[in-house]
Amino acid sequence: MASAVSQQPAGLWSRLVAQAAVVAAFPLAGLFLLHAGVVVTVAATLLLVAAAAIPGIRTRVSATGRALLARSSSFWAACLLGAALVPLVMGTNGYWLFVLSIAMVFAVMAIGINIQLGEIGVINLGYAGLFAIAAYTSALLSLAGWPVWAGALAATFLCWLVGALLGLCSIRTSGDYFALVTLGFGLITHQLIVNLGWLTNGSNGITNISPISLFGHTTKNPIDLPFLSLPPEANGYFLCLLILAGAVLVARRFRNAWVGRMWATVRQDSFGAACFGLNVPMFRLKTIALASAFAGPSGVLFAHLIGFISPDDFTMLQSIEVLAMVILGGMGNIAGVLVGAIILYVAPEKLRFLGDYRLLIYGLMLVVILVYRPKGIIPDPRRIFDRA
Amino acid sequence: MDLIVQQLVNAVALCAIYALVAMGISLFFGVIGVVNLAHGDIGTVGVFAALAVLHLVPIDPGGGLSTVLGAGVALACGVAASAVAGVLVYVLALRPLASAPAIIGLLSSVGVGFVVREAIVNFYPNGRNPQSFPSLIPPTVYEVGGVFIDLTHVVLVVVAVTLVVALAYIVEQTRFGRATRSILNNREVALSLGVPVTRVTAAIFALGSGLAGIAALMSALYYNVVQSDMGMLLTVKGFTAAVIGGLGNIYGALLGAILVGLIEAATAGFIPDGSAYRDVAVFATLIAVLILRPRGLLGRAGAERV
Repeated sequence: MASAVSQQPAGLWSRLVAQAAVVAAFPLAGLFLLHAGVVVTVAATLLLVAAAAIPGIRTRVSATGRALLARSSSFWAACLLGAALVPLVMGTNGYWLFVLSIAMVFAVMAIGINIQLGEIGVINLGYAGLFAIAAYTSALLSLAGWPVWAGALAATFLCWLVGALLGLCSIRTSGDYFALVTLGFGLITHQLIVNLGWLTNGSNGITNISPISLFGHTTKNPIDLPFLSLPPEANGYFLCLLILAGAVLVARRFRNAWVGRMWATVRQDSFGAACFGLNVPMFRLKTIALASAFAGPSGVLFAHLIGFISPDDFTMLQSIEVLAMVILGGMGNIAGVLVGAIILYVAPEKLRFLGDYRLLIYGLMLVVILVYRPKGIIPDPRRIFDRA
Repeated sequence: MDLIVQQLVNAVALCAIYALVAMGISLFFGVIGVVNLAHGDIGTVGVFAALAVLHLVPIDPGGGLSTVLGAGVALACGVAASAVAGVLVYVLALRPLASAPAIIGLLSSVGVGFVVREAIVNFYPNGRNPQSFPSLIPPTVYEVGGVFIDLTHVVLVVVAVTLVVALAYIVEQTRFGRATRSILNNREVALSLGVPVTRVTAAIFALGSGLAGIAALMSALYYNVVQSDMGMLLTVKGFTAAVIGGLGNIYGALLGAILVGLIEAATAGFIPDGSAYRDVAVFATLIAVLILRPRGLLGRAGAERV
């Protein structure tokens, strides 16, 4: 991918060092999660704030980031390799692996939302409804005896279909009003799950959802190889990593093809796109359906990894939290969206030492970051010419 | 027949509460183009401020001048707290984002909602649990032709109607209202014609948030129970009402609120086991209205915003 900001071609050695640094960053972050106490956490947070606030450091950091993203295929490969190394440093402690797996589930969802919000500027406040549909479909089908992969396919297809129906509404309504339609959709889904007790077991939720298994090895068994032994949560971690990599690949392929250029055009000037012969409503409908399909795999993973789902997991706040991941990370930029998702999901876990003040600090952080960095932590380089 | 009328009477009080919230949301959207999802939580601030004052004032059930006076002072403090909180939210969390896309303002208001709810949970004594709100209105019930009418309902409706008329007068007839309407119409032109846009917007936030405070207090008097997240329900219902009517139009918000209240009462009253499906009916109506009239019932058909 050619970045909007061209860089001096760097030497082979410095590139290799940079890639190695990216790979090494992941296990280091893992060690941070595992071992950092209150003091280190606070110090690291202050360091990050300083990096964002002091202009000299900020330009340095963002130039390095741009240089890395300029060769984005190798950058992504380095990220994947680094992320795959994380379980090795965790030892027998499965807790953070589990937290990271669920964070990746949310990252898959955030990539889906990013296609709607970041690429074509459609606000979806009911994404948790799609997430719920996927989780419940997969859970109910697996309880009915279906294999997980078949349930996952059915769930993803259903999400795509419901997304297309939502997209139909976008033909008539636009902007904030479409956001309301999706808000209504999310709330209706939630209410129906609560009320249709014969199907969903109401607000008690569904328990004992079977773990995912492959050749008799389920996600509840520890990995025991001659040279390696990992806690059971590592299965879920690798599975989520695989699905996330797939989601990033799909999103990037679309973004770099003509579809991505059309997304940018529709976002910036849909009249212009229509004048050049694009069927804008149909295009928008297909985009919304595609973005909704990402809720499928994430819902399936969520249901089967946790093994218990209830309506409380799929409220409006959930939708908004995923939106916040996209916006804080940097709308339109896949790397930014992933960073936002991981930070927003993992930070509250790491902030547990704050006790009851956790959510208060979380809300404050949200407002402060938005006010000081409204384009996100890693803004999309393609949008430097976008109108606000 | 009596049953139907009784349901309608019960619905009217809900309509009154929703109307006050919806008009505030609609006004805010009109002047800054941002949906304020912390609106109901700002109302909650007022309720808890009033509750705190009420604990200081001795309330005896017999009534008497000091009780009436104390209750009045408490309610006024609540409304004032809401108004101040609203202005603070505008200045600290929404105005700095004026040039950013509207969704970012919306998200910022979500953060504000978090802060308000969690602040009440953590800093108000026993804020984690629902608290009882004293019933300041005597529990008198009138019977009119077989229909029972609670005095609380009468008071709520009278207050709401008075406020709606007053708001309509302010917006239509005063100098401040003219400035408001000019900002609603076109912010840039209003600015270039010398309207002190920031000051007027802050004043609108004070006004709208005060209304939210009154609505939340009315809801507290209606249910006699308050809790830290009571504002969320008000936000969602008021927002729905504002959208059904057409965002940016206070009469639309009024119409939407009446519709939402009636639909809720009708679903609960006429469909067997229907009270569980109240919200489903309301949001299904919302989606239907938006598909048939994409800018709400009284919304202006403008050029599509890109």
